[in-house]
Amino acid sequence: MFASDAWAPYQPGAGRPWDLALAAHLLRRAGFGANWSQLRQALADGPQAAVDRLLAPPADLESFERRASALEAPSEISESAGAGECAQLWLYRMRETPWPLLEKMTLFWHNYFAVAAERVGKACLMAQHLRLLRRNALGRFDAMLRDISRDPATLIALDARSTLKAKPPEAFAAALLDLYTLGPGLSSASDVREAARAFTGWSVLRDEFHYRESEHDAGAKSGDEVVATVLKNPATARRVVRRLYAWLVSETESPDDALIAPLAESFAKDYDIAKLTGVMLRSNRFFSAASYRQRVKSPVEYALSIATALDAPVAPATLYGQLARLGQRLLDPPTKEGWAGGRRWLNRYTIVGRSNLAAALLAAAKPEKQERVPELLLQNEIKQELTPYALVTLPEFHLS
Amino acid sequence: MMPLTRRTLLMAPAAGWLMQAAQAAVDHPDPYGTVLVVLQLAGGNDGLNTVVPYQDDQYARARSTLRLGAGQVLKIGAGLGFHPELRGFARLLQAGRLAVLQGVGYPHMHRDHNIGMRNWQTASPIAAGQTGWLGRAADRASDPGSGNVPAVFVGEIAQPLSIRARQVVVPAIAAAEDWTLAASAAVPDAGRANPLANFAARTSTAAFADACRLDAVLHSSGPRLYPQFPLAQSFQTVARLMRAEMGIRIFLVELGGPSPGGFDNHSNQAGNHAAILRELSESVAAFCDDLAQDRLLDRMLLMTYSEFGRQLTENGRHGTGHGAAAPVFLAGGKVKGGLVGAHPGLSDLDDDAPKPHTDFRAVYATALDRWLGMPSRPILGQDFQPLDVLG
Repeated sequence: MFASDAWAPYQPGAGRPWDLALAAHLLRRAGFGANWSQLRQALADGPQAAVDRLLAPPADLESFERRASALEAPSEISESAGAGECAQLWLYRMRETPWPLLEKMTLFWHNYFAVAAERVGKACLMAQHLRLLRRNALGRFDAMLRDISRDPATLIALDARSTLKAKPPEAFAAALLDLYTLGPGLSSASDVREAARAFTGWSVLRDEFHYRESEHDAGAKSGDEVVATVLKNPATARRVVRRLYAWLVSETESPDDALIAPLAESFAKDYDIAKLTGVMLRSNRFFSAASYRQRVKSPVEYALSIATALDAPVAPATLYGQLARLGQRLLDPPTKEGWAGGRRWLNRYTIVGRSNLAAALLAAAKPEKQERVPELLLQNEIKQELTPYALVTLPEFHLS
Repeated sequence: MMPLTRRTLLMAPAAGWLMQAAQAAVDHPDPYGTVLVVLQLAGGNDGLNTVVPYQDDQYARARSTLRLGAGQVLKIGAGLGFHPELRGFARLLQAGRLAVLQGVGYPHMHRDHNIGMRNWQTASPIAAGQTGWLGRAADRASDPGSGNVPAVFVGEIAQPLSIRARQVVVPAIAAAEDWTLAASAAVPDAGRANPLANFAARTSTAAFADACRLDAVLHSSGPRLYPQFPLAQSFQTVARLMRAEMGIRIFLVELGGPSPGGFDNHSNQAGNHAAILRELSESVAAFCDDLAQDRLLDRMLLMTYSEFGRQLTENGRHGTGHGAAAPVFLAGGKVKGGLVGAHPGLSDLDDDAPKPHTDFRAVYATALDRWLGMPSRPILGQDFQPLDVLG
């Protein structure tokens, strides 16, 4: 497939008709799965209109936002309960939101910046960090990166709580270059030292970003200049596009540069994340076999795909603990690189844990809802009648 | 692999499947290699009242109320005695199944609980890394496409950093029941066109077979005597997972709970220390006795660690302050039993605490290179000479 064909909008045809399986594929990747009525809606809309609806849902987003933010108000978050409570409120959002793509992209950026509550130590700063990710999740990457460089949680997690002329934040600079923008192996040790000097004087004071002019290394650039420089480097756009490709399209293959180049060139011009996301979701590539069931569901995707299909509410506190045992403690990725994911989500323990989680979610749903599961999942792949439990423990159901 | 198909599962009653699974475990005794069980002792164990230099006058003078005398300790030679509650350890030592590595630590040991523990957990006393040494071993032991589980944490607290991996999802379980299936699942057919689906199918088959063998172990084992201590229950879980032959090479268990930990005795140490050492000794002894019944003891090596020992001089509140070097215990069927290395001298102290003469990473290297057969250098970041403590 030439790159231009790959990224051209998918038009259903005899070779690749728009059917339930593809509609379900879209709703898995651009959200947390679907119930029967959402699937029928997408099927009736056709692929392009279905993507329009995902990018800009015709729903009352404001009233949901008011409800969710009221729960997340700083006065409602207790420091003693820790960031776990923020994560649980996030699970509530993921399950209840009228705009699943926004939460799915927030999860993508959480894994991208991989700030861990354990290193930050304060729940209110994690809540603020999460709001930053959500605010920018479908916005502009350049704006997000500037916000991230001033984000108290990010600075603390990367040992830059208090930077001095004599103590430049090298871990922060290394993460900015190697993880957040250019990618590993593209900057030298002296690049990192130079960048670190530019961020001297940046610090966190009373939970807020604070710039101390007197501690800024006068001979160095400013932090904003470093951010602007890495944003001009084409490697940055390529890295984000590749990461988003693995998130939305496929994680089983490393795409050719030729496939990535057109998207990266366009993305570098405006850093418009929603536009990039739209191009990927609408594309021939996305609706081809190169993408179909070429991702492993993370624990949260696995659990919510069942709850969504059943129209079942989830108990966020319980679910948070269950997901942690399956390797995904939300807001606490294991390392600065985020979760390894992919095949690593599935092992001889997690398969058992996922099956038990599925059994618990099914038991909590109404029987008449359970009966609907088989018809809306795996329609074209499984020809035989299976119980809902047998269905959600099938190998394919662990894949997205 | 287990001769299970969707057909046999759907046709046979669940009990038949379990028996088949149990039979499979018997047919393949010992298909897996050696097992390392690491025991974290949180709080900083008082090495001087664990392996007691009861003949040393300096010890007796400095420990005005906590000292253990010749009439109390369990003598183990070289002028040393075990704390009187370490009866199980004394028995294991006599049987040649326990080694006492003395004076273990690292230069300028950190005396803060969190930093000290982090140093032992990451095996990086200079710049603490993001992963634990056992987690790094797990990452190296498991290919991403294998679905194998090389390491497990058994306990009630949050998973300690020692076993945090970059790649592998390391299970944290409280009991063996956490690894069994609430409802039996269909074993998938093989032969899918999509390699990723094939991987999920293979892993599911292996996982369901593991869960069934474990279930069979839980139902078939005769009475095995473990005391009621939480640590003993953790060891029983480890023994069950070993019997189910799930290919796990590394187990982490813990005593002392979350930081600062039950070994941290700044006041009224005598009673607390005695109680926790009793839990330690009786639990380890029960575990070794259990494994010895099925000849599993020869496959198992147990190793303890604590973030630091304690100061020599009592603090005036019947307790002790944070110290430095302390003994590490090894137990198992292949251990060269006995005392290893000299007891750190009490006349040459570092801020009132015994100085280490053996680097803890040499002990880790021994476990990795000589026991698990995993090259230690990439896991520890540099070479350490393994100790000659395994037979």
